[in-house]
Amino acid sequence: MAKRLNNLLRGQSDETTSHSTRSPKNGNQVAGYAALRAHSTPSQPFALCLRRSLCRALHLDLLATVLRWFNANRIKFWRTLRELSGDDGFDRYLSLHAVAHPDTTPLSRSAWFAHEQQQKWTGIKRCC
Amino acid sequence: MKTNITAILIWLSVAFLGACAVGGIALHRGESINALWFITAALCIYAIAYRFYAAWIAATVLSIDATRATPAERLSNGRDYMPTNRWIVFGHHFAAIAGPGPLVGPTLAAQFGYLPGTLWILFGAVLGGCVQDMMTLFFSTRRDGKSLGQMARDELGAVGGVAALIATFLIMIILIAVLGLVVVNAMKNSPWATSTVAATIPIAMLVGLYMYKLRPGRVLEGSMLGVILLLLSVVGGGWIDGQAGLREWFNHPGLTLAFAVIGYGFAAAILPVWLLLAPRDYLSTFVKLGTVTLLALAILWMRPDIKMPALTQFIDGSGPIFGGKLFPFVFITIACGAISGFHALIASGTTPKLLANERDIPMIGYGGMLLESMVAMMAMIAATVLDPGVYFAINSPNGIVGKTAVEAVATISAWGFPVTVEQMNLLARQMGEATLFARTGGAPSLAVGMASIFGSAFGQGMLALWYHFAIMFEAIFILTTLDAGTRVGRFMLQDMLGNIWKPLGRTSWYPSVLFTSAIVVAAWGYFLYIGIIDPNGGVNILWPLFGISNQILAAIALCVATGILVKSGKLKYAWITALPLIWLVVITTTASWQKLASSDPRIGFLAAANSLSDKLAAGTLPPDKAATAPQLIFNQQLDAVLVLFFVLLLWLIVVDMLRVCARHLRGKPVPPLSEAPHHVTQLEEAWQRD
Repeated sequence: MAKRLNNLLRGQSDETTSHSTRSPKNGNQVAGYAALRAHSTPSQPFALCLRRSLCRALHLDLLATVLRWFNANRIKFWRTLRELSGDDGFDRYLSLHAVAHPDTTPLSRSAWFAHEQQQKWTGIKRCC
Repeated sequence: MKTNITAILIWLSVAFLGACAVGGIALHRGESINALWFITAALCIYAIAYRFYAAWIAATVLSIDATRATPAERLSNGRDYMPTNRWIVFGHHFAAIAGPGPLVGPTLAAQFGYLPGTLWILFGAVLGGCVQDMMTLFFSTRRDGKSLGQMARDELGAVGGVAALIATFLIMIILIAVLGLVVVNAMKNSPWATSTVAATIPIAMLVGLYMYKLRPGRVLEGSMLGVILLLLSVVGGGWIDGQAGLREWFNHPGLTLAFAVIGYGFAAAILPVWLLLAPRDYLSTFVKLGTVTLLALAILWMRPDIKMPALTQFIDGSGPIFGGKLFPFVFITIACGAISGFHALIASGTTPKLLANERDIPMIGYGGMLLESMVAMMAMIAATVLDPGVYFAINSPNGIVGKTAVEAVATISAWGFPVTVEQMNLLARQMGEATLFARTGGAPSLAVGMASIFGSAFGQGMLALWYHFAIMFEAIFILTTLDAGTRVGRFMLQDMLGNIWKPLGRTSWYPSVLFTSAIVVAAWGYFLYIGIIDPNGGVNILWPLFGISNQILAAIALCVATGILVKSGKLKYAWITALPLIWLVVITTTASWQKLASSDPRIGFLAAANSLSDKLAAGTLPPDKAATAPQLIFNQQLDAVLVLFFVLLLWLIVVDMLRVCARHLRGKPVPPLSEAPHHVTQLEEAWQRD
């Protein structure tokens, strides 16, 4: 993750290398960028030129890099978000239960949630 | 070696930049100063404090041991004790400690100018608040996640334990009252704000039903649904405000709203948690994190200018929002964001039970508080980007500046902060309000500040929407604190009363639930009611009382920490907690003394009671004021008793701690250290990291 962040901070040149090795889809896109950067090919369609200047004006290339970075790590983000919010609490409970008490049936989803809420709000949980 | 030199150079430049920024803020005397200086100063100071001070405390003073099993591992039960990823623990810890306090305190303290509050937020946090949080977290982790009260009892003796318990209960009552006052002042005579805040209640219940009945445990789905509904309620409030008949339903004076909040508090305390409290907490956490991030981005994007002077003439104690000199009252007013004793309750008892490894303690304890300090800094920026005239017009109560708009602007302009009726009317119209005068409490001026920052970053056209979004944002987690605080107060009361008559101690016995909830709600409801009828604005009384009680709780936590340091043979490092402790004792004692003995009726409780009873006896009060005067006189006397009690409690525990330390140093028996024995961690992660 840190390496990817560094790449991102350093700019596109590193990002090009890192992406071209990752997946063919990204590789194509990066090849497109490289062609844009070369700028000299007469066959370059007008649309591409326009896109390039727009990208420059709006820093869209940076945005695209950021979005691609998010996309590449989307599963990780989703997992973190679920873990942070407690959305995956029941799954974690089930796996813990399977290890700790394999011989008993675990609580149902709604019984577990009711128990969890009650337990969460019996101490000092919020502050000024 | 090479990386060492690079690191040294980087940290030297961070130190240099930080010093320049702080120097710039402190020495600047001109028209305005850019908010970016504040952010730079804060980030540099936090980075250096975290990298060097926190790391030094962790390594040298506490001797943090990454191979030692934490209570989360040793006592793991899949419920409260559970080793958890450190970022998740950080998220939970921050969500728990950061409430409305760091938003309201700096906004009120801005009456002294931007400088005193800013410096206290920066240095109070890195030398006091963060140290307190981290030390408490560490000591509780080494003691199976015991609470502050239990640690005080084990390490110092029964006196400390009882003092911590009583301080916690009283602080809770005053905190809830003052927060209720902030919400009421934001909603009074504002159909838009009132209807939006009212709508959050059914929305939370809907989300509760969704998470509990429809799709049990799907927290994210429910929260997303709720956040969308909340945003719609902000828009819907604007629509209601435009309907001639409908708006009267939500157009109420302060007193009616205060009773509504009291009734709501009682209902929330006796309803099952899944229906109101739990879903509201999910919503408020999401909205809070989102809005604070958005505010940070908007400040970075806009880089607004601070218009408040560095110091105002009110450092002499004549401030309109609350009376009292710069020393000690700026340190009392900003508790959360600089040092807040309440955090010690979260850092002991709750967070240690999740900690997977001791080496996460600096990040969660020290770092969590740094982030809260940053929130306080942003609140300070949002309050001081307003024209000072506008800031004082919004925050000064009627009793100080005069009842009508013309009187108010004349008084405020005479102070040297020019403002006109037209300017205030235009602002009120832009924000979709009838008037913004005398909305004491911090929430509305913060909302205006936030709305103007958001407005200039994301478009001016929606100022009214941004304003009411900011009001909704503050109200939703103030109400969460109100619900949760009432509940905790109820548990504590049941615990205490259970000693007198057993059945009262049963937390699920309904008559006991009703009875104790009613007592807790009546207690804070009383202070809220008095706060509303007080013409000088209840904030003038309640906020200092809250600050004093919160700092006293911090002093108790620091006493426990100092006592443990001395008893573990680390006398030469005891200054780490002793210095902030001495500072807290000095400021709270001075403030309490002034609150008791000052002859200025706006500062001294007894002076206020006497001056009011003199006026009542002389018959110079108008009839409506004469009717409420006896209640106000009684309340001032009650507050005097309360503050005396607080300061006695503080000295009791300080003397107790000194006694234990002195006995230990002279080799006499003291309560033994209650640290849990060392077990080697079995968690692989501890060995793998780094």
